[in-house]
Amino acid sequence: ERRKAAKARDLSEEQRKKILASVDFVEFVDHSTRLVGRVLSDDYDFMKDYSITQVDDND
Amino acid sequence: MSSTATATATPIQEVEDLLKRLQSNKHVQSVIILNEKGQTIKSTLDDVPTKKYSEIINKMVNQTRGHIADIEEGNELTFLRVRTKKYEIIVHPENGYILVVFQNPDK
Repeated sequence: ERRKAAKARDLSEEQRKKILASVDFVEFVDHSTRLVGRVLSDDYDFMKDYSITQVDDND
Repeated sequence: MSSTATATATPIQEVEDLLKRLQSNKHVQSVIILNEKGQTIKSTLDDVPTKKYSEIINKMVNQTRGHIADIEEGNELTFLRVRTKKYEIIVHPENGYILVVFQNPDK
């Protein structure tokens, strides 16, 4: 029954529209997309192996 | 409310524009927005994968929140990045909502 409690039912179309039109939701999307946008534009990839890619630059 | 929005822009339109801008980034594969209960508010994916990912991400967020609070009482999760071999999952929970972005790490 813990599993059941954790599974929330889907939002109704009416509930969804209400959230989409709310000021706090717009503020959230505005702020969070800007923040994530900064993360995305950070081109430095710390997982990339740079030792190989440097070699054949021009051919 | 945003000074950049045109006079006629509704909140719904503003949200659409912001999400469109986010998706225009070439690394972005998909975007989901959830509420605190894990219910989907917005998604760029089909219904079946949306439901699957929403449930799993919501679980991840709640578990991580618990672990953070266990480490230090009163502390809160503000951002979560998970790197996998295929993509990166970027999660930003704030004010009762959760933004989830799947990023292709091939840069």
